[in-house]
Amino acid sequence: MVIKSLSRHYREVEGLIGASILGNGKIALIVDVETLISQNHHAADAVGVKSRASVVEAVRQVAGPKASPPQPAPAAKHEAAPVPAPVTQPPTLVTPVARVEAAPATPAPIARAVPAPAPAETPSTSQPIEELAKIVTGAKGRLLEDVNNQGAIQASMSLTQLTGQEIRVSFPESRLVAIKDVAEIMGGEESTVGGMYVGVQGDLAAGMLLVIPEPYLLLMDDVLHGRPSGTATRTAEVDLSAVSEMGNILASCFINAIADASRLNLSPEVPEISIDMCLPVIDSVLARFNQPGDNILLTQAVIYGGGLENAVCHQVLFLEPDSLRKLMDALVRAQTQADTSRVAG
Amino acid sequence: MTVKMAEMDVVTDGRSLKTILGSCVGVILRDPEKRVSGLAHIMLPEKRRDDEATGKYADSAVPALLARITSSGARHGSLQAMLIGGAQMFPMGNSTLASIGDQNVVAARKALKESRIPIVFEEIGGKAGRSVVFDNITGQVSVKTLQAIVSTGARK
Repeated sequence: MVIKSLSRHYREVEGLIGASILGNGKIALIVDVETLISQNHHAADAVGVKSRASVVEAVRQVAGPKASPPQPAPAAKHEAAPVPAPVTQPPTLVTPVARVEAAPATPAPIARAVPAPAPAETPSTSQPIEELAKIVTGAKGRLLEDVNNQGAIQASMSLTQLTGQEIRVSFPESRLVAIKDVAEIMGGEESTVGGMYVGVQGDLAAGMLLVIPEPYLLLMDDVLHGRPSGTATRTAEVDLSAVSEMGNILASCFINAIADASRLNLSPEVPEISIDMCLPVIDSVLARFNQPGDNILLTQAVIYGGGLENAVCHQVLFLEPDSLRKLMDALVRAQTQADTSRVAG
Repeated sequence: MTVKMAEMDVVTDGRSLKTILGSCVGVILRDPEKRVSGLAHIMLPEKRRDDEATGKYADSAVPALLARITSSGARHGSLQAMLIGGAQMFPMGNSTLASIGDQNVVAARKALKESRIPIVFEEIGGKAGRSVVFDNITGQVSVKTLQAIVSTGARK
């Protein structure tokens, strides 16, 4: 189980210290039991030591109900806090954590009017592409992974809030994939999909491609228009602005996360949409980020949810090799600074 | 037989050649007398020097397909070419993404001309992806988009 730090928006919420993703794709918030206890020592005193279940309950309240409709803003969390919680250990810096499944139904700082969304990040292909793959999967790659994960958490929350349906964005995974297999991985060369490309401008040459299978496309259309799921039946009639909206949010979440963590200046271009067979939708993007060899470095997140079994979208982040190196350097620099100030503070 | 991105294949029997194209370009070569056909699924116009992947680029894929098809029994002098694909999948886009299809078409035509192979059928450009099936026996090609059959063409 990989534990991820939270973005700055959620870092302010006392009692939450991280997040992880479970095997089933659900996001789990990680709770700092000590903090919860100390915040609520009155209640805790009154109740005494409790079972772990009560911690879970406490966290549910903090994090918001499961499978709930869109939740209010994150600030609300502070109030909702605490039911006491147990655990007899003395407060130490290294705290025990309880993991709780929380629907990403929580707050989302990002919504329609995203101020300065930023780009998506990610690596695509490389020189000896294996060399870049090593960077991304090696020690420094953890930084990139962290950033990606922030994006995934924010995107999950934002989409859930936007749609009122539980939607989860998995933590992106980077791997080498044969170019000829990319379309198959995304559901089949000939399957109908909505494709959305968001280029990134600024300090990095990057782009994000979202591949949305037909069933999900129809669902998003219904959800974003407040109609019952299943109303839209024809892909040709799908409102592209609705899809665009979803893509914008996703792109913004990831781009923001990258810009935040790297302190690079990044901004997304206007999303472009194409509804077509899967392979045609992705081929020009693959060509744009082409590198030598038969493989590409695919950094891909999968979006689950909306109650549709087959509603799995693929989000692929592309980064030119030079930009990938630049991003890694910026992340290392920013991380070092953050560590220094943390020690100082 | 499905030809995937950046790959090529040659058939000498009753099998069809299939591929799906967006901004990529499909080049079909056929010797109608020997009934030998080949298809290259090309992604980009010009070969990078540091890339060994011949099938990806128009300027290297066309000669490579020519070599394969002649070694399978086709006669260079009887070959005819069909050119399909090269759409703009994200037409509003910034120039890089939008112009790849056109560049592929131009580069494929150039490579065919240099190999002295006449183009007998073209179904190119536009804004939609194409699903292509080529029948080696009849020499007939069928091109479909998501919405409709766009065109069919045949040469003996």
